[in-house]
Amino acid sequence: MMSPSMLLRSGGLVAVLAFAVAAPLMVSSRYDLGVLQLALINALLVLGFNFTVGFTRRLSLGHIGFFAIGAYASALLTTEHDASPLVAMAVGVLIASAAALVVSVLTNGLHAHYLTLATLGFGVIVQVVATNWIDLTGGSNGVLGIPVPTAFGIELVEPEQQYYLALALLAAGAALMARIRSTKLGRQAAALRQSERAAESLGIRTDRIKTLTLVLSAAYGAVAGSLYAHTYGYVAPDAFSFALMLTVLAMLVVGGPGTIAGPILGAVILTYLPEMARVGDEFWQLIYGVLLFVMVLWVPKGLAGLAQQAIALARRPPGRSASRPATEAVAR
Amino acid sequence: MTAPALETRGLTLRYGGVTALESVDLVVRPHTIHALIGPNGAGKTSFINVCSGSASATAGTVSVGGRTRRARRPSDVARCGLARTFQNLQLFAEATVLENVLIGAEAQNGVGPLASLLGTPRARRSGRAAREAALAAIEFVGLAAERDHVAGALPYGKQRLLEIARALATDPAVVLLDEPGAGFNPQEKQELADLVRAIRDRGAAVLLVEHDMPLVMGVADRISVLNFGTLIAEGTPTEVANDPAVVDAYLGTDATEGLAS
Repeated sequence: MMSPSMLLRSGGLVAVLAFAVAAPLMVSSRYDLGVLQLALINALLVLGFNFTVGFTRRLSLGHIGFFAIGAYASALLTTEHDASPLVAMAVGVLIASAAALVVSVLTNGLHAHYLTLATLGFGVIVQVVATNWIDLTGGSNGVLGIPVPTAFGIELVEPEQQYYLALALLAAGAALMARIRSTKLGRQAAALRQSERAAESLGIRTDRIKTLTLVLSAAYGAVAGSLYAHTYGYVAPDAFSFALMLTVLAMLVVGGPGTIAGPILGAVILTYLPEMARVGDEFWQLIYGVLLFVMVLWVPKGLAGLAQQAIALARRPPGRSASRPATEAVAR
Repeated sequence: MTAPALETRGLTLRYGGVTALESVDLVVRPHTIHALIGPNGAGKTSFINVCSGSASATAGTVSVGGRTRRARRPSDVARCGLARTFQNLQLFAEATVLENVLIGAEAQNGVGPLASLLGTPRARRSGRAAREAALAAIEFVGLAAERDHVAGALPYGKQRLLEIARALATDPAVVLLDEPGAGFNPQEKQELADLVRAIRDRGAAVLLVEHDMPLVMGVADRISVLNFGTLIAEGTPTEVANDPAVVDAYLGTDATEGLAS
C-alpha cells in the first residue's frame, strides 16, 4: 500500500524522469542540447558535493579538485594510453577516492573554517599541478582530442546519446544517494551533522563517517569530471578554478543541501540562468554571490526545503498546530 | 566477583598550572546508583570528560566493564559500554524521537555501511532488532506517545528523557547522567528518581552527577564527594551526610537542612 505522500512523490519522480527523457526531443539546436548536457554534468557534480556539505554539513571546498582528477584521468588515459573511456572513468574514480582518503585523514580533526581553508587548499593544489606539471598534463594548453564516451562497447558519437548516458549516470547517482540516506550511513551522517559529540558518545566512529562521505563525494565528482572530458573532448586547468567551486556551492545552496532533488534542481537552474542573459562571467559570479547570501540568510533549506514547507502547509488542517509531526517541523 | 562497571585509578588531570583532578580512585559497582557530588569547580565535569573520553588524563587509568582502555576517542569508550547524557543537551534536534534512539540502538551493532546499503539478511535482522530496542527504550522512559515528534520541538523535560533513552539504547554497562534533573520541578524530579532506579534494576550501573541534594540522597546507593579535584569522602548517603568533613567543607547548613527533610 502506498500512502498519499508516497504516491505524490513517485508521481513527481515519474514526471521529472519523463521530462528528462523527452528533453532532447524538445530542443531545436545542438547548442541547446549542449546546455542540457552541461546541466546534467553539473547536477552530478553538485550531487557529490551534497555528501559532504548536505549530509554531514562539513564545508569541504576541495570538490573541484576531485572533478579535475576525474577529467584529467579520462583525458590522459584515453589519449596517451589508449584506455577505453569506461576504464578511464573507473581509474579516475579510484584516484579521486584515494585522494579523498588522504585529504580526509589529514582534515577529519578540523572543524568549521579550518576545514574549509584546508580543503580549499586541496582544490588549489590540483589546479596548480594541472597548470604546471606540463609533461603530464600539457600545462595550460590542456589536453585535446579526448574520444567520445562509450557504453556497452558503442561509441556515443551523437550528443543525444551522450545526453542519455549522463542522464543514466545521474539517475543512478541520485538513486544510490537516496538509498544511502535511508540506511545506517545516512542516519549516522545526519547524526554527525546535528551533534558530533552525541554521535561519538553513542559509539559512532565519526572519523569513518567523514571519510566515507568525502570518498563518496569525490567518486561522484570524478564521474562528473570524466563525463565532462569525454563530452567536450578537451580539458584545461582554467576550467577547474575557484569560480567553479563557488558556482557549485551556489547550486547546492539554492537547490537545498541534504535533499536529493535540491542539488539537481539547483544545478539545472544555475546552468540555465547564465544562458538566458549573456553577460560577462564576472556578472554571474556577482549574482551567485548575492544568491548565496540571500539563500543562506532567508532560505537555508533551499528551494527543495521551500517546496517541502509549502506541501506541509497545504496539507495541515487549519487551526491545528499544537502537535508537530515530523514532516512539518523538518521543513521549518 | 564481578568487575566494576567503571573504575578509575590515580586519575589526574592538569591543564597548565591548574589541577582539575588529583589522583581520583573511584569504583562504580554493577547494579549500583553511584552519585558524584561536589561544589561548583570541584572537578565533576572534568571527571565526566575524562571518563567518557572527551579529555585525556594527565595520569591514571579508566576502565569500563573491567577493560582498561587507552583514551583515544569518546566512541571507543562508548564501545566499551559507557553511555552518557549531556548537561547541555546534545540531541539530534531535527530527527524524530524514534530516529534519535534508533541511531543509538544501531550504533554498535556491527553492521557495516555496505551491508546496510545492500540490505543483507544480517543487516535486516540487526535493523529490526535495533528498532525493537529503540522502541523499548522509548517506552521505558515514557515517551511512547511522542515517538514520531521532532526532538527539537519537545518540551525541555522530555528532551532530557530522550537523551536518557538514546543512551540506554546502546545497552551500556554504565550510564553517566550529567545533571539530569537540571530545570526539573519537584514532581519531575520524583519521576526522574524512579527512572534512575529503574535503570539500575534493568541491569546498568548509574553514575549520577547532580546538584540537587534531596534527589541524590533519596536515590543513590553510594555517594562520592569531590572537592578541589580530590575525593574527600565516599559511602552510603547516611555516612556521607554525617561525615563532618563533608558537612564542614561542602554541604553547609542549608543542604544539611535539606537532608533532614
